[in-house]
Amino acid sequence: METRARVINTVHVVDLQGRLDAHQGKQVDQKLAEVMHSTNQTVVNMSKVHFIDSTGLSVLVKGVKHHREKNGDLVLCELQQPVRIIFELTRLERVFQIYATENEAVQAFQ
Amino acid sequence: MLETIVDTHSAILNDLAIAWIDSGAQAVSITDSQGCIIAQWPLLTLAGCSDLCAPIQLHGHSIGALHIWGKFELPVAMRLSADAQFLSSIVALESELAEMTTDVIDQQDQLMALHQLAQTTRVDNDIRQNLTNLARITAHLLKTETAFMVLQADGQAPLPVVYPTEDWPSAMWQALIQELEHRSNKNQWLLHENDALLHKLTIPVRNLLVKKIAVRPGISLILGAANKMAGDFYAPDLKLFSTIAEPAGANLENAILQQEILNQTRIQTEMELAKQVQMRLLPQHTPELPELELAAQSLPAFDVGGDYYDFILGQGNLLTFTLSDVSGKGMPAALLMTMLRTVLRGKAKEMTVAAPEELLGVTNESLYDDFSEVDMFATVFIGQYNYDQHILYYANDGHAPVIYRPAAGPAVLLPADAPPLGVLPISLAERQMIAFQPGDLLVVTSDGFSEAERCDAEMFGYDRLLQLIDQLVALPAEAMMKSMFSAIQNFSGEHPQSDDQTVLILRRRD
Repeated sequence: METRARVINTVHVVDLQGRLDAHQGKQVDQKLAEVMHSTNQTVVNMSKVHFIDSTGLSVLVKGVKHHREKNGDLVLCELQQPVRIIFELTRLERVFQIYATENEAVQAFQ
Repeated sequence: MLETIVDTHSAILNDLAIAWIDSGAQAVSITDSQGCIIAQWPLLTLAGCSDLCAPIQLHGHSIGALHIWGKFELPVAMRLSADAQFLSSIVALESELAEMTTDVIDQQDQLMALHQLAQTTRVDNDIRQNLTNLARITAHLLKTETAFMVLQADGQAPLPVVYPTEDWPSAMWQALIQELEHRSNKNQWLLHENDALLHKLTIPVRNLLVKKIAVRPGISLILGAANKMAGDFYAPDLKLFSTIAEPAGANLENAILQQEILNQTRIQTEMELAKQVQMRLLPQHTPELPELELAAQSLPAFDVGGDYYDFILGQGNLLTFTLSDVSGKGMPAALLMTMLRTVLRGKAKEMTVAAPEELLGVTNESLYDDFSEVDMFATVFIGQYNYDQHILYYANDGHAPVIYRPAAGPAVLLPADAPPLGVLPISLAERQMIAFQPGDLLVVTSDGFSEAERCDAEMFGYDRLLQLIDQLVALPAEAMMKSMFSAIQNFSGEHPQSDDQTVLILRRRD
């Protein structure tokens, strides 16, 4: 899984690409942990993620919990349809703030 | 040197001196290169300078002299000179002997060190420890200030070890090797501080012996020794270096292999244990109730995934049943499942009135910290069927698929209304209810079922599942369940099962 991080003002944006599953989960977990050293405001851009399983979900859940413990938040944006469905089925869309576009997500922090 | 020889050969020198005195000399002495007296005969203070003396030499340099006092003729001078030369050759022989002895001790030392090296790499040390020993022994054997080892494996960060500890970046040595390999086909190089390459890479050493060996395809080892303590590296050093390097590769490969086998065994054992734990958690048989048909089964994958289902016959005409899926795999998932089961069963047995949302709430509260600690969650469906009133009460934390098929059809998905257990500190699940008519059917499966893949990466999916249930509806619960497993098996074909597959069926008898 490719991961990149960019910074917009005080907000870190992490781009993920590919499958967010048991194999790639560790990398993403590390990336989020890294990012958290410098911020508690993170946007995860999911536009290039086409698959997610429970391990992938647990990585994001871990991320959001840690961010909220530090009085920040981790939000998601640009979910692809199949991934969106998984979030709805598990009702995790009640846990995460999910935005249609990256802009909206970044704005929400400001 | 001369002093030592005078000591060790005092008897002979004594005889020599006495012979001189007997033949007329008043006194005899031996002095060192500064002119200080090392030995004299007789032992009285001697007056001034000697009358005759002859130099004692080693490798063409004067290291002292033989003196006599008295009046002598010319032949005496020749005799004195001959004695001095004799003494010189004794000194020369002793010097050679001393050198050879040092060499022998050195070699013994080296053999011990090599033996030690072979021994330590056989013991179950980790890779870093092996490399540290290797570096330490290399520095010791080659008599250098520093030795270093860098283990390079494709696709991994290099593992550098420097003895004694220093802050040399491994990237420096890798860059050096790359440049050297460009230069020539050799795999061993000797560099000195005026070498342009050392300047270019700012490597601050006086002299450097470096070598690269292949450990295994994709893994190589760079060995180096820097700053030889007395002088430079000569042929014997290069030979010794090769002697150290040759078995190092083989020993290292053994150590790496050992570690891999150990890891593999650990994983397999953990998997086995997790599987056993999981099997013990599942109900050994389904309850028999005149009002209901029940069937349930779980097919674990190799990578044990943490599916759990249960039936709890409590009080008040209540059958509590559950199907749950923990997000992780292996032992941690199995252990969390055990805890979940304990809390659920404990509470469910006490309940006299259906309140599945309460059951979820209590379980979430009890286990939230534990789930958070290991960064996992669990989807949990809880049904409480009152088999007197025939009402199904249920609550669902994030689980899918849950399928309800009224007797007249068609099968529909019942969505969850709250996120999985362990995600939020408070459960958001609400109680839902369905009045069950005769022939009404509930099928709950884990996502290993609906997400079963075949070789073209297509998943079974919810649509197929709904259709399948509609097709199999005429079968008794047990037969239906078996057919469902067959259908998934047929669909997946050669593609291996990657997640546990669990099915639970409940039907109100006609």
